[in-house]
Amino acid sequence: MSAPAYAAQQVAPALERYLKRATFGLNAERRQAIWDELEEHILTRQDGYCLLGHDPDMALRLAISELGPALKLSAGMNWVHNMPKMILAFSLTALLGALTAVALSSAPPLVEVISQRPIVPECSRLSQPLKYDPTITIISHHGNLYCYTYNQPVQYRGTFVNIDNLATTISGQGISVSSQIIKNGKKKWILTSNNRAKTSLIYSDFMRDGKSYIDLYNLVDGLTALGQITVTGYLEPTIQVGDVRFRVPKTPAHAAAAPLWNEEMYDLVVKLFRKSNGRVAGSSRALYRPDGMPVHTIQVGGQPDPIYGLIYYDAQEVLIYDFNAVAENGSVEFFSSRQKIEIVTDPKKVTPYFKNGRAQALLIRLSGRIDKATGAEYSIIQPSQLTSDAK
Amino acid sequence: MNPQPPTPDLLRGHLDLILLSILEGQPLYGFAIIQEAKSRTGGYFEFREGSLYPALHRLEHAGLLSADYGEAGRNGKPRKYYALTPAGEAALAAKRKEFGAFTQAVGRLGGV
Repeated sequence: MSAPAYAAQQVAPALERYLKRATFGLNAERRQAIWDELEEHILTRQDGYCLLGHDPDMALRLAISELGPALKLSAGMNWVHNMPKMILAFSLTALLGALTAVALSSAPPLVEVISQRPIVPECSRLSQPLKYDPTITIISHHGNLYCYTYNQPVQYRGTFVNIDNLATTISGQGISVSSQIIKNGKKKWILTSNNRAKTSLIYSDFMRDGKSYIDLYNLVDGLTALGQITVTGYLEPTIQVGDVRFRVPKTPAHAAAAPLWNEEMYDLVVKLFRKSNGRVAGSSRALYRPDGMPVHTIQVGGQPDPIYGLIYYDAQEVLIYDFNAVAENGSVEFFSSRQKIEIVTDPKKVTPYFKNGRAQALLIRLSGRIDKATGAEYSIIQPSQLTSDAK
Repeated sequence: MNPQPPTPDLLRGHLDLILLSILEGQPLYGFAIIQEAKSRTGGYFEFREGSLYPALHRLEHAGLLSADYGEAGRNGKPRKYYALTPAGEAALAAKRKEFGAFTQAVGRLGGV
């Protein structure tokens, strides 16, 4: 059976982000079918919460929380559909769930973060016995119910914020924070802006040593309910919403802001190219440097810090993006599977086909501002250097 | 007093039997399966919703369920209905027999 084709329609950013993560790693056709199935479930559940008196935004968040962590759902779906390709699917899935450690202190205060989520076995029931797979370690199995962990630590890497620590710090900056136990012992935090009378809900992604953690992307996504977010810095970013500011400390393995920008870039590419889900993929810069992939160095000038992104088609006609901060010398490095590129300024001119022996690529600059409705603010850049040959 | 809900381990261990039983004789879509499980058991079965869909896809992948698209759902796209296949009906019969033997054995131990 194949899924029918549909016209694209607008969905709420929070819902789209959840579905994007829940279906990550699946092939395009399957991803669209599962996306639609989960979306229908969440919207129906949202209607139910609305009937109970919740406003639509709150109802949507509750409906999403009922489905549980997107990464877990994605893991289950990938296990069913992609078992032979698990390593790729899960390295990308884990990349999407990236987190670090944040500690709010002085001005702006640092928040406490960790960069590795706990290695917790995933359990899945298979329709037939599992064959040897070097990417995973089987922890236990009863019949065809297998519990396993992944062998590569990168799959558990990210930027994860200690929520209690964050809440304490934010409470000192004119935001009131309260927490509630929801079902199954899970906790949610309610952040209310005193001056703007806006409310944000955030939920923990996991607990470690009795502390609750949320990934940086989910945190920023939650905070956008309080106002526009501004992120400055890459290795040690400062995040500001209204009067609230905090700094995310450096992490040893990756730029603390990389997991956040990886998600925002994904959303932006989908929006910019109006691509169906599953036809867009990020490079692995957010969490580790791939060996042997060509590197383009493009002069953009200006101050170090702003984030630039490069978007192009790979040989499989999937839109690929990479992003990086500008270096001290005004250049920015991108990974690309394309050796020779020509930089264009019209997304329509980015095609899977070579022109004069070069792949077309779009260069964008992210301002650092993230809006709940419109996502990351960006501009298309035409550098003085219109072509690049990778080293 | 309502009985305590099943532990996650107990529910997971019998998820296939539960899903196949719910779908016996009536194709349903995901959300409706959860509602049906609740209503037919007085709220005893309350799935973690995120575990439902991988399970449905696994059973479909194994040939125990078939799927077809029905009326438009809340997002304007056709709902995906799951139904038992002949292999699913056979699996359900076998699982019921296995579960019956197990509960009888526990009963004989005086535990039930």
